[in-house]
Order: sequence, then C-alpha cells, then structure tokens
Amino acid sequence: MLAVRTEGLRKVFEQRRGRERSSHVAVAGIDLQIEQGEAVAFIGPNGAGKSTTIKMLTGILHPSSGSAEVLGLVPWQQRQRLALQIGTVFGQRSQLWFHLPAGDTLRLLGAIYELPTDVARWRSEELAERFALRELLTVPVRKLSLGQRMRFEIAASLLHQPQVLFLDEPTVGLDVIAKAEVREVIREANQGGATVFLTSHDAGDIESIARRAIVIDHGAIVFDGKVSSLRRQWLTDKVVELRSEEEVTPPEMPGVVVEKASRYGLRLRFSAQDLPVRQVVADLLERYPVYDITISDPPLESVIAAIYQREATRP
Amino acid sequence: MSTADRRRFWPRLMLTAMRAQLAYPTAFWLTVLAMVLNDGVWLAFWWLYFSRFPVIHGWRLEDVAALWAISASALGIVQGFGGNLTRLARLIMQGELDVYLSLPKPALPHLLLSRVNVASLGDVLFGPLVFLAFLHPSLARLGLFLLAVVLAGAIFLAFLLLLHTMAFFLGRADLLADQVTISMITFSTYPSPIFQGGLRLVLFTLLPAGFINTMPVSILRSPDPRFIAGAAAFALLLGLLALLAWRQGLRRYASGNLFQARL
Repeated sequence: MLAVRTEGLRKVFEQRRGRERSSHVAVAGIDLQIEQGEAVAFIGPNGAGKSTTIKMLTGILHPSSGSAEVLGLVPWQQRQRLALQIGTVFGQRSQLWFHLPAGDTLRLLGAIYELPTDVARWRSEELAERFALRELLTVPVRKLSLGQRMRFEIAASLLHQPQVLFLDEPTVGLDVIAKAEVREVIREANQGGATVFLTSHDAGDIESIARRAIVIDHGAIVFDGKVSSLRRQWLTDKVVELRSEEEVTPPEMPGVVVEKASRYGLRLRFSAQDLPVRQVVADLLERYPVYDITISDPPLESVIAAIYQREATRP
Repeated sequence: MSTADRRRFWPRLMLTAMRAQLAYPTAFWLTVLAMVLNDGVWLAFWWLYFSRFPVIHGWRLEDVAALWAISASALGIVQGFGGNLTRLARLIMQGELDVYLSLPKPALPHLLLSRVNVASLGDVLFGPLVFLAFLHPSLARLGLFLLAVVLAGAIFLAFLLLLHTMAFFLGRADLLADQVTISMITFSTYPSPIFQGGLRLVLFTLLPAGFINTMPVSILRSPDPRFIAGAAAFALLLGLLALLAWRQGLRRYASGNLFQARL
C-alpha cells in the first residue's frame, strides 16, 4: 500500500512588491509514490521546494494545483485525521514548551494524540529511556542543550507511534554523537514499520537512514532511485586509490587529477565518461608496481555538493 | 479515548499555558498587580472627574465603573486566556502556525489557548473587584453583569479575530491590528453618549465599541431585550465572518522558516 502519492503537486507563492505582483514556483508539479515502510531522503539545495512539499504533505499548506494522498487521506482537507497517524519534526520549529519541563509537553501531546493516560505515560518513559533522556524529563526545555532538545523533539513525534514520519532537517545543529543517536532512533522507527520521509543536507543522515533518494531542484524531481545509484548517476567521477611497492611520483595523465600523493600511495580522480576505467587502471598498472588498488564512487558529500553547485551556477 | 477524555484536553492545555507563565512566579504576580493598579488609576481619574461634574449625559460614576468592570473582565478573559489572539497577525505573517496545523486538534482554539497573557489577568481580577466594590452586587445584578461580560467578550473575540486574520490577505496586518485594537479598547472605555453623529454609526459597525460602551445602561441599569438580542446577533455575525476569514485564510497561508519556540 502507498503511504504517499502525489500527482502534479504544485505550489506557487504570489509575491507583491509595491504595486508589482510576481509569482514564485516553489514546487513545479511533482509525482511521487512512496510505499509504506520505505525510508526516503528528499534532498536538494536551499529553496528547491523540499520544505514546501513536506508542508503540503502534512496539510500545513494548500497546493496551487495537483493532488496528494498520505495514508489515503488528502492532507489539506483531512488534516486533523491525518495528524493522528503521522509524526512531524521541523528542525527549525519546536513543539516543546520552552519554559516547562519536556515531560510536561510529552504529557500534553499524549492528550493531543488522544492516548489513554497510562499508554501516554508508558510511551513517554519508554522513549525517554531509549533516548537517554529519563533524567532530563523534569528539566525546563530552556535549560537543555540543542542535542537534548532535538532528541525530545523526535521522541515527541514518535509518542503516538505514527505510520509516517516527516522529518525536515532533524539533525540540524547537532554534534556527531547526537546525530548518531537520532539516526539510530529514526532507523529503529523505520524498522518498526514507519515510513520515513526525510530532508537533510547531511550526507550521513541520508546514507544511514534512507535507501531511496529523491532529488528536487527548482521544484522538480531530477532523480528518484537508490541512494547507492545516486552517486553513479549524478557524478560520473571515479576515485582510484593505489598503494605501490616502490616510491611513487605523481603521474601526468590527461584527464586525471591527483587528489593526494604520499611516498607509496596516490589518490586520483577522473571522469569515467571521458576516460574508460580500464584504460586508467591499465596505465597505472603499467607505471607502478601496484601492491593494492581500489576504485570507488566519490563520497555522498561530493554528490550533494555537485547538486548544489549545479544549482548555484544555473542562470 | 472517550469523548470526555478528549474534552479534558482543553482545560489541560490552558493549565499548561498558565504553568508556562508561572515558571517565573514573581514576575507573574508583579505583572498582574501592575495591571490592576493601571486600571485602578484610570478609575481614580474618573472618580476625580465625577467629584466635580457628577453627571455627563446622564452617566454617573457608577455607570463608568460598570463600563470598566465589564470591558476589563471581557477583554481580560479574551486576551488573558487566548493569549495568542493579539499576536495572531504576527504569527500568520511569520509563518508560525505550522506547529498547530501539524497536530490533530482544531488549530484556531489550540493556538489561541496555548498562551496566557499575564497582564490581561490583571484585568480579569480588576473587573470583578470593581463590580463588588461599586455596583451594589446582588444575584440579579450578578446575572446581568455576567451576561454583559459574555456579550462584550464575544464581540471583542470575534472582532479581534477578524482583524488579525486580515494578515492572510494583506500580508502585513500586525501594525494595523495593533492600532485598531487600541482604538477599540479606548472607545470601549468611554461613556457612549459622548459619541454622536457619524461616529456613532462607526461604533456600531466598523469599530463595534458602541455595543460595549452602551452595556452599563442597556444591560445593567435598565436591561433592554432588543439591545441584548442585537448585540448577541452582531457578535454571532462577526464570529461567523471571522471563522470564514480564518478558513479562507488558511488556503493562502504561506508558512515560513523562522526559528520558533513555544514560549
């Protein structure tokens, strides 16, 4: 069964400056189909239309045209019914009461999600335990660190065991350890059956949580496939790392960039579109007494950087 | 969860909003006291005035005291417990409705009741104090006083709501809303007979303070069923218009990306 389905979903913001009116197409008619239980990363540069799409899928924004269903419900028409079945985390927006202990917000959310009191208490304690937040339940939110606050935000979004989780930059501003904890909890929720729809600029989030990536650029989907094939499709570059039995001098090969050179090792980069891999490898094997060689795709960070760079250089 | 459990959410929300303000108890009580004193100073001015000129257009000190008791109680309840009402235009403009729109409760009452305006709680205390001190309380008069507070509160609520929802359509309505709110409060706290001619028409239509500043005479002194029915019908009409504007406005809501916390 589909958790999310959209057809031609489009959002245009009207802008007015003085007497001049203009319009900005934030989402340019996207088609999406996401099965229940999938973990999808929705990526793209700032202003690409990610948050606007999430806001339409959660019923916060009305679309300009097109249709969408989440769990069989039309978000902007059946917003309250849908909200009972989904969880949302907006990294920039807090649903915690700033001056009260986070435990108070969890209790109130139990009532908002219509959980019986004992179930709400049990879930709060379970999540607090899972996120290592038990000692912090009685601490006012204003006294929590950003990482602790974000863990509470995610705990709050999981309180009612939602079927779909919409996460808009859930690890923004977190340190490495807090990011790892948050990712693990999201993965667990996904393994428990929840569909995860994630936006993030962090390659670590995407690689550790999502199996499918959807890239949006100027409001239109430009890639929809496995995270692993995102690298191959977006960047045709290959990275070759070799260890030599003898000292090496960096090669001068047209189309090959030396990224790093040490006494016995080299890291090279080239475009597989311009140079066949076998030709580069054969050349290297001929030049050096190779002890070990690895050919890999560039890291996901490079892919994301390439997407954003392309965006920046567009007219 | 039963229907009764669901209904319990609203008092629980109000209690949470109150506790959020009581996190700083000294500041809380000082603010309440400051508002009671502020209202008291206004009434003291009127007392000085009436000690020299005992009657203006048939109004005595008791009528002005009734006006202050009604308007302070009504506005205090509406702005005090619906603490986000006077911030609504800003919340809309800055795209801060997202949290309320992503939760499974009616967004409008949820956001209104999510904040207590502490200063307005001073008004909530001041109104009944004036009623008890100046207005010869009896059971019948208490009933009439409560009726006036409910009607005035309904008019304030509907009017301010309609005013603030203009932010959906105008883009920036916060400054306009602030100005008009001040005018509404000002005209609601002066005796009705001093406003005549075209202004009177405005005060019973565009800026409906006329309904409120007539209440001491038309409800407390000599209850007029036609006035009461008219005020109730007007409040209902204004309320329906405000809800319609809210529903239509949500279709135009543009959200935003400001960092936001629930204070």
